[in-house]
Amino acid sequence: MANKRLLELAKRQRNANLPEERVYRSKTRTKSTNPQDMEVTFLTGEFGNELLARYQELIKGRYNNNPILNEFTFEDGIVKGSSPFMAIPMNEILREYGMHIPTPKEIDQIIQREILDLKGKYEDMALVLRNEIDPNKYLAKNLAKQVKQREDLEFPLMIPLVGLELVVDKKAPSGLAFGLTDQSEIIYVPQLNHKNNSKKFSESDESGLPKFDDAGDKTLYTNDSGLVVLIRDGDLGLVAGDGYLAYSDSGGRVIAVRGEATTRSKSLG
Amino acid sequence: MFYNILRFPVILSIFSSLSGPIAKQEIKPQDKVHALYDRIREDFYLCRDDLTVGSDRFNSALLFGTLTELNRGNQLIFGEYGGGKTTSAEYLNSIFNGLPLDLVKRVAIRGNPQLTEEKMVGRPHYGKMHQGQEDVVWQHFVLVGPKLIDEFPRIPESNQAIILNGVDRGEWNYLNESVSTGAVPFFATCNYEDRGQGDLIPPVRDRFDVAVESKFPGVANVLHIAQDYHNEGDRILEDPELTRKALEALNSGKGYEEIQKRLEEIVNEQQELLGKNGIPVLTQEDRERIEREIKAVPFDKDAEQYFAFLVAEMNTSPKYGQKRSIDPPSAEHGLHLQASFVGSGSRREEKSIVRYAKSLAWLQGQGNVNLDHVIQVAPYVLWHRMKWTPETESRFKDDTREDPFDLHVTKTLLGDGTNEMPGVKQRFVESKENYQRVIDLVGYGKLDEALKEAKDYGADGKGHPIFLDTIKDLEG
Repeated sequence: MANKRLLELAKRQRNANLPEERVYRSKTRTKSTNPQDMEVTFLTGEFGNELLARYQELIKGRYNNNPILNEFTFEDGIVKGSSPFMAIPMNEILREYGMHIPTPKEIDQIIQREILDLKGKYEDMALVLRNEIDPNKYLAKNLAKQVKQREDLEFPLMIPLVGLELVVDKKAPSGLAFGLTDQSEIIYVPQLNHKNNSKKFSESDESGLPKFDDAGDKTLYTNDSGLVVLIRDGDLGLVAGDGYLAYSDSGGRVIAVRGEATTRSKSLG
Repeated sequence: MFYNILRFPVILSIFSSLSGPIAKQEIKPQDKVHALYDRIREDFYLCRDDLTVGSDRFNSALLFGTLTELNRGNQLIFGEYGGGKTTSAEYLNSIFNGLPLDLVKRVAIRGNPQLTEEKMVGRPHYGKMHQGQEDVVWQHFVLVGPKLIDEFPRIPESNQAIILNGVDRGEWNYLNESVSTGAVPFFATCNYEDRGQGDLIPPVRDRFDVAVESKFPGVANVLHIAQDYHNEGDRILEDPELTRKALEALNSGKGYEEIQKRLEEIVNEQQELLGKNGIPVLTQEDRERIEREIKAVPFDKDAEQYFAFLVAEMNTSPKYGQKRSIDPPSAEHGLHLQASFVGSGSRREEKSIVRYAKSLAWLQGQGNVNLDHVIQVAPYVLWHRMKWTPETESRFKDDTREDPFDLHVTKTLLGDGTNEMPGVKQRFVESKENYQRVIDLVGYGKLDEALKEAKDYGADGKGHPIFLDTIKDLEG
């Protein structure tokens, strides 16, 4: 029998109408196991172990073992965990093997073609910059400054993680900041404006961003401020409102892709 | 300073008339309280604003002191030696209660390790005792309503408990006698930990509704204060003759009720004098009305839900079922507040948050308690009770700040937090849509669906603790 105080509270706080359909948006990610693909793969087995060892050397040597970078685990034969801070140095390691982390477009193609089972997991794909205030005000200002040195600043913009570097910055809240490189792609993404929060989609455009469709089976969630990470969520929706850049849990996955990284189109065999 | 300082000249003109009739238009009690606050701030407890609520700026020590007077609550005042802790409480007790300042000072207790129950509460009537009769002589501290104890931690722990029991219950016992004073405002000052002073144990800290710091008032204010080294400015609050009469009544040996009647007459006289000096008074009728109005101020939905999230984070533990002071904090399921401190929530602190948030909303003339009220009030209710883990403390120890360390950590973690440690408000904003969905389902009787979704959002303990708690309520 439910607590009657909860029932009273709910009657007092309920909205005028019951939502028509479930709006699932969970910040947490859940575990899953995955098949392996020759061209696209999770970081599994000996390969995963080796990458992890190389990664740990890198963060020890270059990033002074910054604790927010130390969240990968190796469980059930797979490297688990992900955050934008972690994905970028891992991308650097993957480059040594001729591989890279996927762009948003590539993730979408992985889903569309069912190359890997991404349900119940999440992948960090890009940073989304909306303005120079919180969340992550310092990093937002820092990144905006770098963008302005290259081109006119137009919000919101997206920068895939695959083209970024991680720099030590003592003034940054976590001691780390994001740096643009020659490979950084800066994409204006009005689709990710907050007014499109909770809109549905099924397919993505050439940047891996949603083509809105009321009958779609996936959902976009966006916030309205600051610097956030663009995530593919456990139900294959897109989340562009997560300001917890250091967050990582065992639902996170880094995916390795072999081939040339592009943000406009990618054909995976 | 209150944005509505413009009202102050209007009220002054009403009350400063030396011989004219009392203003016929009704003065709202909020306006009276604002005027009292402003007068104390301008002429007596010189200070600087350090807190913003909505569009209003306040000095936190004075604001919460005002709310403590209105609520008849318990307030701890921290600060450095000579930092104005005792002074602020003396002014508040004098002005809000119509007591001569010199009387307030006379009946205040100065904490020391030799303070016994007999020196604070009551003692046997030795004359009657020798005749084989039991009778109690109540100490002035008990007999005069608003209370102040200086250097409270210097009092032995057992006697601290006696004071707090008496203040909480509004009832004082000695031998087989008791007096019922009702709830009264109580201020206790506390120097920052110093050699020779004990600390306040957690159960004692929990008895104080709020804690504030009496801060450095700024160079300009200090230059002004320093010129008045004989405290001439206090004269308009003092009345040696009335104080003498009050002490006479207190020492008369008469019954409690009779003493209170006499004190009431003295208060009325004092209030008349204050009125002539442009200081408004709160009548008993005002107080009763204020109490009713404060109680009637509801929480809006965001305020209530944020409060629910805060309570969940203070009291639930995915690892241990509930938060306990004997279990080590665990961040295994996420960096919620429960992972950051040792201890747990308490019903006292939750009641304090509600009371003070309502009072603040009332003072601002708001129809509801909103999210900002709760977020501004809660840190002052909690910071003196929180025992942060060493890991949490280490994340903040190098921060630039204006507040004492524990208050700074509490404000940060109850608000947006940091990149490494998001705060309760951040998590509330993130999860409230999901929570609202569960609430909607419950509110429309779809309990099975609500339970299913709460379990999804709870994600085996990795989601927000509010979902774990809601699951328990749904499962019954």
